[in-house]
Amino acid sequence: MKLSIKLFATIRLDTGLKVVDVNIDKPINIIEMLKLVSDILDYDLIEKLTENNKIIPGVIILLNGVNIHHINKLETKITEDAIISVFPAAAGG
Amino acid sequence: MAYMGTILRINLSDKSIKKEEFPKELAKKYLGGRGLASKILFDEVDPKVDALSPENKLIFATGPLTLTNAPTGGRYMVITKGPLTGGIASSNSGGFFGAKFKATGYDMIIFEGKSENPTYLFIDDSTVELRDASHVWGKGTEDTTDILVADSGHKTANVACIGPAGENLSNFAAIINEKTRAAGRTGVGAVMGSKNLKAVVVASGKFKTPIDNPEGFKAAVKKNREMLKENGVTGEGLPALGTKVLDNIINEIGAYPSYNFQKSQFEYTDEISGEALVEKGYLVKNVACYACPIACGRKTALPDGAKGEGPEYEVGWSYGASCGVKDLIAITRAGYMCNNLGFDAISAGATIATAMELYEKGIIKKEDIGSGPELKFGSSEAIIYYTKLMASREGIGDKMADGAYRLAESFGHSEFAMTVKKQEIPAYDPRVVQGQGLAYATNNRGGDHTRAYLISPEVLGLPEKIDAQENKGKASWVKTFQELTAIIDSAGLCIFTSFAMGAPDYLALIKNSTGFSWDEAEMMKAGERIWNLEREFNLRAGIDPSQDTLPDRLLKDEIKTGPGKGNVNRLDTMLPNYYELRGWSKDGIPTDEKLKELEIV
Ligand code: SF4
Repeated sequence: MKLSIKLFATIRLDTGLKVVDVNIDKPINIIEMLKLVSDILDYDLIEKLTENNKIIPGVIILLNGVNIHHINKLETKITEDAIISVFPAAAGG
Repeated sequence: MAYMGTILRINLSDKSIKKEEFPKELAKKYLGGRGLASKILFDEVDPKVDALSPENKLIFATGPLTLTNAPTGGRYMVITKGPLTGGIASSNSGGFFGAKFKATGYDMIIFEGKSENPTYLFIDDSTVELRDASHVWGKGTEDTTDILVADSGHKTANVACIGPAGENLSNFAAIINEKTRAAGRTGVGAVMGSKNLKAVVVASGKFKTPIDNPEGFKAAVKKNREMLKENGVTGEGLPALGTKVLDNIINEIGAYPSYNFQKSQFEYTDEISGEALVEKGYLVKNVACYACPIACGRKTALPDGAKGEGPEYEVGWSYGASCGVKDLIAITRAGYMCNNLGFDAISAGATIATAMELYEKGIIKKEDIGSGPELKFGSSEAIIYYTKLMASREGIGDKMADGAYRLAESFGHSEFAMTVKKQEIPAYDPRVVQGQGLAYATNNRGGDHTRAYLISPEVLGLPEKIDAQENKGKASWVKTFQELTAIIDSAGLCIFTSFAMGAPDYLALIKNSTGFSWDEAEMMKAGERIWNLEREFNLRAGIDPSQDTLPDRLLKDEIKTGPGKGNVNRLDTMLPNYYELRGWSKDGIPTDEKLKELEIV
């Protein structure tokens, strides 16, 4: 399976990367995916996006455009090729 | 307490200047700023008057927390009957003008009548006088500000003024303070222009806001400042990337309208996003309004040396995705131009987008645009050219300066105007964010997101994440947000504080500063009162509830691609519930009982 993880806002500015592509051979959930990408980038996405295994208020993680809050939060399983968009706490208006 | 105790009443026709006692008892019901000024407008102005006639009044108002160190405690509001919607107009601005004005010892200015010649109001600690403005008439807000600051003899004087857009009565002209901060929406600048009032100059002020319970207030301020610092959004996201951090968020969820809402994503978002503004090196630094710990403002500079502020999220969208433009330099420049010409940049960009669609559909013809560049989506040249043309009202710019609705209507195709109550809808597609659609449709000032920012719970997950596509329960969210926002505005604070602060936090600041014995329910009741009073003004002005709606495109045309594919806004499933929760008739009219309960009549 091919996952494209799109990075935004301060994560993009900190890492200098817009997207990270990873290939995996079995389904994983969001938290596992975040650990995997953190290792690849040497950048702690878990700390940036979660607190006590919960999504920090204002953080947005989309699986193919759908907020994982409305799927199964950090336990949401990724079972096929997917685009995951990751935003640290952000807002505007 | 928390009020200076005096209102200025300036009659521009006979040049009289009166100082009146501040209506303390009314403040207990309407708080200040937007709320209290709306009440004064309601009592003194026939809602049916022509917005641009001398019979209309223009009120500059501060809130009890303006000129305090409450976080963002520096806002002022301009309230009048507006020319764009024909209903109550109310616009809120940051920067430093509001706090400086209050420091001269006044809470509010009510302008009446019309000056025979261009004039401006000069205020310092001991002087209030109308002065000749003929030397700055016709000038942009930048030159006007520089000249009037020099004339005042005070380098630190603050100026709120109009540009050519206001002088030429564009329906979406803004009032600009400190060259870059706008009381932007609903055409308040046109009302100022109609009165031949070019500017208000505040030279110096020595007064402080009296606080009822200084110790309690200090503790509340400290707590709220800490909360704002620790919050990921107000402490990190907004300072780092400003409001333009939203470009990619809203695009990724498929709610980023492009090509005048014909699509719901923009393929070039990455090139014009907040991240791109940093990566391309245009961002110089972030800047803050008075007493603001968030500092969401952007000082920017372009490669050719042009400097200014912004673009913010909305301007970046209206001139970018909405016009199909992927040129960040042209978008930034158009934003600078709006500040200098004195335009509301949302309506300006959105009106050009409407013109582009009309042109591409063959409704606006080549002969209508004369020698101007083609009104094609994606044209950087067009957004710059037609922005200028709208300010001078030359050629087709004359019709465009009336706003998207009247432009499209004049060509017999109002269905291409993406407006609510004739005001241009901002940068969120309500087919994806259902509650925001209800908020647009029921907004007392028409197409606008800042009176109930449902994006906060529907997209950003603040204060909690709710499903953007769900319709159930949205009426209640919208009602609460409309009422709390009325309080935040009326208090003199910026709504961005609400990403971290909640009702009890605002209550602590208000109670300790004013000495009101309010509990949370009473505070929210005041918000409800303000909302109903604005509604009643609009009804009397002739805006009937049939205008609580969205353009057909957003109600009937399904989104074709992206995460929002297949959706329309299901307003009809939310609106009856909203009317019911508001205690209005099923036709959307506040009942006599409701108006009595709120002591409006
Ligand atoms: S958050 Fe931004 S707009 Fe609001 S007061 Fe602060 S700097 Fe001004």
